[in-house]
Amino acid sequence: MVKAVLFLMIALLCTANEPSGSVSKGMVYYKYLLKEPTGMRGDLFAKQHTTQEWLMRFENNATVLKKELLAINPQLKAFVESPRFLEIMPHIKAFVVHYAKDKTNSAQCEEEE
Amino acid sequence: MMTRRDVLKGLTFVAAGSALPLSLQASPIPNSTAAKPVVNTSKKTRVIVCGGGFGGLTTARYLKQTNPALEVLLIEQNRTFVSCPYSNVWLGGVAGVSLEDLSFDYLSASIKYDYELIHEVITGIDKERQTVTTNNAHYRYDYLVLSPGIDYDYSTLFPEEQTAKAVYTHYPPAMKPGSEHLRLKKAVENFQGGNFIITVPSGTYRCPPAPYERACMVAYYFKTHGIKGKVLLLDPREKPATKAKGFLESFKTLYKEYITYIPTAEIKGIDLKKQVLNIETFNTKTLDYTPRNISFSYANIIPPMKPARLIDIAGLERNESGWVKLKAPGFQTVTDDKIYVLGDAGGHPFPKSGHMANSCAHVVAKELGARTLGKSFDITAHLPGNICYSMVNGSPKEGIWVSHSISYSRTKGLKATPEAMVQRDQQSGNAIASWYHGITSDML
Repeated sequence: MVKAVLFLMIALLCTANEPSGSVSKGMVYYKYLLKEPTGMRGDLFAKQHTTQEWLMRFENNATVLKKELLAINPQLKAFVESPRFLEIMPHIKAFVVHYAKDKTNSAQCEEEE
Repeated sequence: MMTRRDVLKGLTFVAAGSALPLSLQASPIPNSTAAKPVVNTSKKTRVIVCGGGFGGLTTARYLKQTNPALEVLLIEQNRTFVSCPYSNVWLGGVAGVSLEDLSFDYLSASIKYDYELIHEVITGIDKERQTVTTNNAHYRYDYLVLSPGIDYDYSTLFPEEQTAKAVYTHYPPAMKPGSEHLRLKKAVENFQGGNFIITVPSGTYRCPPAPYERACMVAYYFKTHGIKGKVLLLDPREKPATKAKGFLESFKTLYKEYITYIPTAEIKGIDLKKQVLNIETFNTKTLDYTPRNISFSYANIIPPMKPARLIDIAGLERNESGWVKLKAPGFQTVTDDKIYVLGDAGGHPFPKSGHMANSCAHVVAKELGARTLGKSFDITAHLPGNICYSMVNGSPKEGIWVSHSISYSRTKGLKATPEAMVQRDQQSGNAIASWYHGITSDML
């Protein structure tokens, strides 16, 4: 019984740390919907925080993230309060968590264009 | 943890003997699951290298060179080495490149470089007792170097196991050498027309330029054999993961009628009977993903990747992306100082290429060789490097390439930075063969 509870807890923790969105989709959504309003490249945006810091920002329908986005650009208000933002949120979350400050992930074979 | 089923599965691949002299062999395992004592009369320091790819073969050779007193044992389940690098050139039917150019025997290398070799399947690694268990015996080690490569991870593409198995069987990725490549070659040669889909995996994967180079080589084959086929290259990214300019220019200039590059393509499902792939692509007008169905005559579906199963057997800690956590800037695992991991399974932010594995293996051989001799070794003065060639045209031979330097700082860790990138030219096309023959003769 104890083992089962432990297993369930670990499984829940793992699930909580693995966003269900797509990293590549998040990257594309960020580029087209958030890059210009934030004035920041996606990789730099993601590297602002560690995994845990990002996860905290996405809690409760991304309350903290919304506040921070509005602080950067108040014109984002309509967008961050729209159902559309909630729809793409899992992908943005997957993207920033994947490239977070504490991760070694970087776009492979990065090239200067 | 190994189950009886895993052991039985392993036994289906049992090689029928061993090239290792009997005096060096450990105790055979009879028909019993009970643990057997490890027999080892040698007092020499023994390094076991698991996996005979670019990383493992180079390590075995250069370890013996750095410290000839070492007993080096290479364990590899396959009896023939088949190269993944250069295989796309063969696939495209480029003149002068045959399957023989990709295939090598392991025995000659082990004789030439004086290390022991066995073809067995590893079923267990005991870090406490420092033993590797195969389908045949237990082998004691002082140091262990794992270079096992990758496995495919279909779970995000096709969560249903049956679909994943069917996709693998009919449309193998051909990112592991041998049988999968032969099937793909036949599919190209027998292609009658229609859509030939190639998918690029998401995440970090083996040989970043491979799907793009493959698209060029398949298109080259169609073009030179009068096949009315179209290569549809589906990429979840907005542009190729590497050498983007060179590949996009090649698609447009050399293969306008033969290659359609489809960016932001996410696979959502497959109908194997109707041969239809369900995807979503990003629409820049609606700013959202929209579904599309694409029919195909053949598909080379390359799924995301993860470290090979041997890493699970060894019970090594992984990083957040699933690759093995290593002590930067070196290659010792964070789990065990006596275990090194290199090649595609490793978690350093390096491109997962054959050249990178070879270069890292040189570093590991030097570091471990020095360690066994009781000498100090500064890895930061011997960081590896990478060069990555891709053939984009078969006649005239034209290639593109990129090189990377690796830097390390305590605060920023390891970083791979592109140093040079050359657009399509004949000099690079001709250099590919020289590079390939050079690197294979460095390890075989």
